[in-house]
Amino acid sequence: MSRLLFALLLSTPLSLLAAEPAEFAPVAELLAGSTPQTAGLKLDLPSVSEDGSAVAVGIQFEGQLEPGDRLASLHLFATENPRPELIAFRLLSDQTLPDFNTRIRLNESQQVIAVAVSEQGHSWISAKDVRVTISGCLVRDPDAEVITGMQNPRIALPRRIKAGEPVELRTLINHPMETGLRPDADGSLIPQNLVQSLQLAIDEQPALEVQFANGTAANPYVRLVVQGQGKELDFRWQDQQGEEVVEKRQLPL
Amino acid sequence: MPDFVEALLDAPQQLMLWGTLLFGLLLGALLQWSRLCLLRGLVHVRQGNHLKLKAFALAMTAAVASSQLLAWYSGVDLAGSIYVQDNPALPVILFGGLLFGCGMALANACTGRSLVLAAGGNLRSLVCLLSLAIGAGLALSGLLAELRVWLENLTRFSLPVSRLPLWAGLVLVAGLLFYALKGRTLWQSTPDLVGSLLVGILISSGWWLTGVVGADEFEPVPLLSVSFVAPVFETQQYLLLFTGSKLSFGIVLVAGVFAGALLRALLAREFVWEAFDSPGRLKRSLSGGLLMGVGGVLSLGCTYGQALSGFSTLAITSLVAIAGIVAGAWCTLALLKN
Repeated sequence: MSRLLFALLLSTPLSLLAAEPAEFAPVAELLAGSTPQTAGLKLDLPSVSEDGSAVAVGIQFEGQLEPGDRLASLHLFATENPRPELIAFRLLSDQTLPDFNTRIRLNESQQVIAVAVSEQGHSWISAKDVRVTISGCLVRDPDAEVITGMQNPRIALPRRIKAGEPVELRTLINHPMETGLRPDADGSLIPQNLVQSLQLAIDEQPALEVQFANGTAANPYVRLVVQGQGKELDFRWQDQQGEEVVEKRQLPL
Repeated sequence: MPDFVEALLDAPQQLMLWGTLLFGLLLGALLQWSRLCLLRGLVHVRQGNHLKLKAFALAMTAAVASSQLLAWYSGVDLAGSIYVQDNPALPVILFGGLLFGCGMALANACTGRSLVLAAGGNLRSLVCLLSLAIGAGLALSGLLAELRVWLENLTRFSLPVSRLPLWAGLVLVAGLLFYALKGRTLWQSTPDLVGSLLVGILISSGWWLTGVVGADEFEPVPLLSVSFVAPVFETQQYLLLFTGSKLSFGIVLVAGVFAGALLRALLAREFVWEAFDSPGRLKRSLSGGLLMGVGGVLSLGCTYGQALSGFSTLAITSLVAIAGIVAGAWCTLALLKN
């Protein structure tokens, strides 16, 4: 009997630790009862990160969709951040491929969960543990420059573009991404101030909406891949104050 | 152009890492040939021979001159490196320098020199490096990390200037140059004269690799040049955690320097296996490595990281760290003598 109790005592915390990613509340809500497939979604994260304020992450969908189905969105969650949402990508046209890189915030060692959802309600899941160590000696004072609004939007096209091949685009905009949880020098909280979204339209057709969150690193960076006949790219960043920054690029196809 | 060259030009970080490998090989071979060593300089000065210290002074001069020229010519802002800080924890940096100097005297070689010696078959240095990696890890992200951050935040204060004005730097460098070139000592030893001059110039290539070649505003890399304490720790971590890790400037630098020194030692038939002849030497290598690891993290750099790379930016923290390292080594040498 005592041995059984002992085993129970031991197993309780362990089972809590090993919680299924699909049962994490925000993920369960997104899955809405569907059982996610565990193969087909690639999550690329370092196993140890010295700087939790900007952890590079890649997410790529490689699964099989049923005929007639298409991928609707990709989501990233952190299990131990004050707010679990990291970033979400809504695919609005087939011209945007489900292959993204960005940088996220992780305030401690935890699990990062990636979820992909299709229009017909199929889902895919992938999770990875990341250990966040004290940011190394070698980080400079982040308060050196203080900006509040969106500044200096940048878009990089590859040096060579071949007709018919996917085109990799990298986007960046300067913004502090204030979480609303951080105290300033006097101890009062700095109000939340986020870039809310990045929208991409190709030839005036909506192609992608990236939804940023508290867990998106400052100066939101998104690498994305487009394919197809579209030429006219229209990038639109929106912040919580309703301000908008627009950048246009032509693909030389 | 071949496809792989095109692909490299599209990926500045890959290009930087390949450049760093070549850079490391060259640096390793040069260090093995010239036997540049601040500690050897201090030991010999105590015996009245200034050659090695003059060589190190010349390397410092060349590092400052070439890096400042690079900054002026290419627009790399050396103030973006970790050495230039507005509110540094100078007491911690000084203390770290003292620990590092003490460890270097105990282990009989600094970090970079240990790497070169280990590549030449010196197992004492290899043991010292393993111990150093543990010490650096303890202070960077391990058991002592929180204590380090607490101490740093406790002792931070704002400096009126974060780096020497150029004229003061020039005066300092002129003094070092005069010391190095005075008399005929240095002129009579080609490896010391040419080797230290080239090593000093290579410091600016490090800035160039991370500040120009690898510069990518979408995926920024830290501005770095030659340093060894944190890189030796990173290399050890990389070897242990290969899956889920990424190569960085520091790791490739350590690998390159090791390989360069090994190649040069083999070609010159200088490769000799060496080991401990007494438990006392083992103790000194282990404790020296540990002290250098912890101290090197606290002081933000070693005899290369602070005394060459840091000094080339004319940062105030580097002057403090160098003072700590020299004082720590000098006192330990005096104590060991008695």
